[in-house]
Amino acid sequence: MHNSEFETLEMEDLRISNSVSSNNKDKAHPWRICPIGKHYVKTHDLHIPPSKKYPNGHVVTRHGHCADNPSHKDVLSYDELQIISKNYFSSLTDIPKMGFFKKPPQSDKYDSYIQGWVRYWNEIYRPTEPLDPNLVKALIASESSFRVQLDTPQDTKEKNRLIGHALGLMQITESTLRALKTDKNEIRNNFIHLTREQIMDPSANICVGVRWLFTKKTIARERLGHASTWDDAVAEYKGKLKDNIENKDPSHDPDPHRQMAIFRSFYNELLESMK
Amino acid sequence: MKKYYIFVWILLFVFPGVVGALSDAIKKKYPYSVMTDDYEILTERDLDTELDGVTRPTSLPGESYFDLYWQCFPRERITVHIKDLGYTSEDIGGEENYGSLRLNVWDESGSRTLHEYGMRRTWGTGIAKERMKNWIKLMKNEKYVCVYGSFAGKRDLIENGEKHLVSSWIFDKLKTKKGCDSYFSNDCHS
Repeated sequence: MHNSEFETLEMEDLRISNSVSSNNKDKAHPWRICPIGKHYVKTHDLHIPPSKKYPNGHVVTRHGHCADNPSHKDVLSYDELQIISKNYFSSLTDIPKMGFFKKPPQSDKYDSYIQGWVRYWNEIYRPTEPLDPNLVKALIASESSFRVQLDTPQDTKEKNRLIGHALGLMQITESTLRALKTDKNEIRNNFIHLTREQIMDPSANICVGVRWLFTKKTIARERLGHASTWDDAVAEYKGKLKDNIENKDPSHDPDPHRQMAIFRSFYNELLESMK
Repeated sequence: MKKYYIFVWILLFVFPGVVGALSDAIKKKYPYSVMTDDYEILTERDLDTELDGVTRPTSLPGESYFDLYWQCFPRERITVHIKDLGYTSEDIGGEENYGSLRLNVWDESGSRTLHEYGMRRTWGTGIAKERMKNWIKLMKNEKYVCVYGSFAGKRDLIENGEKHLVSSWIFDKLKTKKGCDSYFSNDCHS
């Protein structure tokens, strides 16, 4: 599709999203276009098969609309999260200030996505201690150093190929992407349906990463047997919390590779930069 | 043909930097990127990381965790380890355990220091074993190995009554004359 055509369709989607937008009380969040139980499908070309009237088939434009979710639960689609980013994130006010790193130069590029999605998920889950956008920024620094297109190598065995394959800014694994699509495991609601290609988009990656961090906080609370902190959630996100809890050997180093120390140092650097 | 060989020999003699080792000009351009001799393993592209969104270090290790440094060591000082952590999670599919992969180097050039290179994120044992096999293949019969990583801190280690210094690094790449392997996919350039 030609660029200008694409932009026209995008504009069309923004207009339609406002017109199909349902009553706020039916929606998971005021920024959402569709009510709970439906997901947004953006304007797209629809190929109609050949008929008597159109022997060669024809193409019509299917305008943006809300489609039913088979699960009847809340599902965020790629199209809808893109529209939310465009509609709301550039004009966010009344949000916490964010810290900065001296380098790399691209480290502030994703601040609006971080602030937007942290606000969104804080308002969905309403935790006692709201998630700080700076913590997410520090997590991105420790996971990918803000290099958006990175992924980790895949296992060469076909059956293990997607296991732990981590993608993008927040190094979301393919297993996490799968987990966020169904209620078979930890996830019971607030699903996100994205493909491997879509997760490389910075806004989609941060949306999923922040959503997953909330799940990790719940898992951390279960592991600890008491209220968990966001630091515990990050340790769980990095696959370290269980080892830290269960290893009772006094000589055991809880952070031998300094992954948590580096994350905490990045977080402190951001907090210091705001003083 | 004879003339061609003479020409190549002149090139090798006059411009030794062109055939492998980093020239003085390159070392001057990237004064902090390589902390040891490079044993003719590295090229300028290995140091010119701005294209990858990685700023080059402007000081010795310790100032920023974003800075990455090359160090090259004799092969026999390097060992590779995997520790099965005994548990799993949904992030790695929930079937295999986490495996903590580590590359250790005993550096005896100055004070006895153990350089420990760990991963940014703990992988599953399957992929950790594959990386380990790949590194062993790259290091086989090689005299020297270069490792790239960001400095993560120092601590003292007392082993058999002897005190050593441990330098922790976050692994990014391993390179020999045979090839290169990186933490992130397709992140090696030469």
